[in-house]
Amino acid sequence: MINNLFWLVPVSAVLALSFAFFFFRQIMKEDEGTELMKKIAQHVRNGAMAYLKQQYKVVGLFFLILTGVFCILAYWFHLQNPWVPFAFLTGGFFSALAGFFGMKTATYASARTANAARNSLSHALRVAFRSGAVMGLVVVGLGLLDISAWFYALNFVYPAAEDTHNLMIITTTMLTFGMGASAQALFARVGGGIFTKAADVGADLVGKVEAGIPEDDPRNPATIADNVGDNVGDVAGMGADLYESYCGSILATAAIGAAAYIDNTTVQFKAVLTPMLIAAVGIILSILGIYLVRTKENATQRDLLKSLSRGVNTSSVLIVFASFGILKLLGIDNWLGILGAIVTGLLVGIVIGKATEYFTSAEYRPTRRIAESSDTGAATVIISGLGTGMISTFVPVIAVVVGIMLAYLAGAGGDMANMKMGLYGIGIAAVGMLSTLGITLATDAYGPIADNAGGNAEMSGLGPEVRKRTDALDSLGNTTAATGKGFAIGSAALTALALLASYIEELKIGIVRLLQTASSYMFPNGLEITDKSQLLNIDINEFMSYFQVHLMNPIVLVGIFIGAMMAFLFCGLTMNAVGRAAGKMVAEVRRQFKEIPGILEGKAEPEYARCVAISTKGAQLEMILPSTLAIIVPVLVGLIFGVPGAIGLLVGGLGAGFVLAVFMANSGGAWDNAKKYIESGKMGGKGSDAHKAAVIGDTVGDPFKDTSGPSLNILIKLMSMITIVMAGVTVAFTLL
Amino acid sequence: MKKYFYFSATPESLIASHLSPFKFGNYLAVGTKKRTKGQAIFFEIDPDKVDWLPWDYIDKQLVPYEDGEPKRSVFLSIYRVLENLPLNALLDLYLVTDDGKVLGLQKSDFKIQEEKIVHLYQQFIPNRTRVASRLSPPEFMKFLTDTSKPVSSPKLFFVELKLNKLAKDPEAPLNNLPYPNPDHLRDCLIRLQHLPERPTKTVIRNFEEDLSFRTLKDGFFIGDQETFIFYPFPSSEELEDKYYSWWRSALVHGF
Repeated sequence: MINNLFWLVPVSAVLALSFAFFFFRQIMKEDEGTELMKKIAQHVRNGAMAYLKQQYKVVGLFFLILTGVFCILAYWFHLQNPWVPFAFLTGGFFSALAGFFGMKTATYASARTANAARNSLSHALRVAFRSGAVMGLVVVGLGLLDISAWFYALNFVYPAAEDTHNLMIITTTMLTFGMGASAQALFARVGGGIFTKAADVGADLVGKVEAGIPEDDPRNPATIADNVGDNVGDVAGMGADLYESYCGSILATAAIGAAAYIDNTTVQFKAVLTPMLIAAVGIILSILGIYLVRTKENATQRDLLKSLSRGVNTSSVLIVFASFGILKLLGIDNWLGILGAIVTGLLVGIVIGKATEYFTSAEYRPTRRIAESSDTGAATVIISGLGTGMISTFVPVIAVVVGIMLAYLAGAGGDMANMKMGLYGIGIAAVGMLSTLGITLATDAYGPIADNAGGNAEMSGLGPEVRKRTDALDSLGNTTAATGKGFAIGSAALTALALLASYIEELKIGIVRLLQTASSYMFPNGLEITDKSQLLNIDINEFMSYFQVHLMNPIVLVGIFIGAMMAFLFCGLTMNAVGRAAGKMVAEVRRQFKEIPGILEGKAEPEYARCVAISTKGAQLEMILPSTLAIIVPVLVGLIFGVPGAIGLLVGGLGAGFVLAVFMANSGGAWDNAKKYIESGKMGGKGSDAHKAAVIGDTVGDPFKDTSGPSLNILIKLMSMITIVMAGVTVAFTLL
Repeated sequence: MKKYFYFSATPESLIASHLSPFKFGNYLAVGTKKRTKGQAIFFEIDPDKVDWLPWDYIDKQLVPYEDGEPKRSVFLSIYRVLENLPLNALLDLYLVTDDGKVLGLQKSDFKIQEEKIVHLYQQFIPNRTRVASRLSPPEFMKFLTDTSKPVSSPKLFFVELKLNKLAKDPEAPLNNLPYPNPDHLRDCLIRLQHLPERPTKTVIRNFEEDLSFRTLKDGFFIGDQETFIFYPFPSSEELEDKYYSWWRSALVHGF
């Protein structure tokens, strides 16, 4: 029973990929500039591809092992759907593919953007933004293509029209596709984050501080690695993160929708289709928004920002009207309420973005106060940055809290007791927030392209006018990147909540599967069931009480503590990883300055590839422990503490992880912009004691905002995904 | 090989070399093996105008290395060099950033500003004292080279630094001026304002750090009681347009 409207989903996906290809072709037609510009761009491309190749080798091995484990669980123990290993693999593969295409485009675009900046600012913006759009459209295109392909294929195996239970199987099986994307995203974010900061800190400490040469100077051996890092961290890492959120929110909402309308196949199908359709229309509106981003020749910085905002805002407003049409056309129950949930998601995204801007932009008091505290030294800069970051959690948390309640009430039609529909509303809010990801991700990915263009212009010795233009693009990219990070965190929180709700459905499927081989299943509260029909009529509240998921159960509290600790443990491990990898980079740059005569005079070329290799190796080695922990801990908690422990883990991880991620991203962003504020001529400007104190703050903030903070988004989603995928094992084997 | 002669102000010394001014500046800043860094300020001098150069010593010491490499430096004097150097021997002035980028400055006439403001001077020779003064640069030169006074020196080399709005109002914001201990600077300026009979006030007894080139105001002054030579420092617009590489390097000083 494939509804005709379903075809809009794969068509939109193909449309997104077609436009991505079209934009890519347009970019490739642009001139790459002088021979030197081409040579530098080639260095960055080679470095980025060498990194990806190495990363995919490690991740490939990891995926192979996990697929083997899933195969054993599915085919030997029959604890999982037999499709799980394949769904897991394709999720990881498509996420990696999106990162590959995005990064390939970004590395081709930097020199072209620098060359376009020789003509005009608006030309450079067009090239950089269209390159970012390739990433945005590839992510949403591949995500939706994979979802629609799996949905279509599974619908053949488990015909949705025959049994409402089938659609639950389809949607929960597809969720494991999300785990593949999550695992790949974790490696991309953690590995990319470690790479980029190791290269950045190494280049800054030895290049700027010790050798006294400017940023992006070709004499600095780590400068290419620094440029490669922008791509692997901010393009591939951010892309994989949001790809996972995008797919996760759609899949979790579909699973909740399937469970909410278990007694009516037609309505159930519409509820499953709704998040996919909203995402599909979001793609079309994103493409429209991308075309609206254009400026006049001789545009100012303010014009650039206006232009980007016009594209994003138009898409966001139009998605509300388009969703109104879709929901009305589908004739889904409480369609106005669902529309309200979509609007809530969009508003939460905007509020978090604006709050991030307020707390991290030097236009506002919080960041200026950090800059002012530099007058009394580095210690006060650190203290005020930490304080500001902690205070900054207030607005996003309240926004998410209000958003959750509004979306719940809107979805439930104002009835607090209607939990299933309320949770569906929360999932739809996450989908609404991410519906225009095509263009919002374009504004994120554009930043590192502009940054790299500046690096290329500097290394190629292009004139000050060109550098001024690329600096203007870079500065705008910093603003959009900070907002994008807030957006990524907010969407991760809502997606994780939707995943938590869908965990319950996955548990039911797990018990149903157990009942195929066993005569009965006994809940921890002693209730025994013998038939799956008994299970399907149990509502969430009853289900929770059967599993004894309540706050008086110490196992739930144990899970919460472990979940909260995981966020901090993960952060600590990734921060220390940056320190160690940066140490190796510092040693290598010092060695090159010492052993290669003529580097500082510009007579000899540094060994750029060695620095890239050191960062790559460091990132791969260092990401293994935190990533493995993120995967193993949810499995162990499930096996030892069962469902109450697993739910506690997810709640603790989500609560602590979300707040910690906001704190780290905002502290780091505020330190960075406080330093830039001083560099703009305040508090004594560059070279002053206040500036030196602010530079220390910024260095501390680097791993906060670019490694540990963003990685937490994925940690909270990945722990949810693993717990979901392992639900069958958790209900079958539990120690306590 | 051609012989060059330089009068360095960082620290005061007279040096002979085979290196041309730009190569010599780079060498002074980062050394031969590029394992050091440090700002340098020096003049090229016309040896024909100096009658006391030790030519025998120069001919003996200033010879290329065995491998044919030019001799980078032969120190000829390190004490009271400026005092003994005729002003007409001074050629161009060179400013070297701590990573070895060199900017050459030519002599020019100095147009005095009529407006009564407070000035901030960084002296290089005979000592590195930073002084706030109500005196204009020519007046300051005359004041400190008046050897009839106990605190004086026969010749003086200094540069004027920016004070921006502080030049008229000591309470004005410091903004983009990277001076250490800004409150102390403000105290000095206020004191100068309240004591009209006092022409100067020491701000820093011995400035030991590298100078932030972006704080330079009109330019450098070198002279004695009778006359002075002015080396104008380009505007930031001109530096950005014509000497971008040097200017960018100068701006990242102290990073």
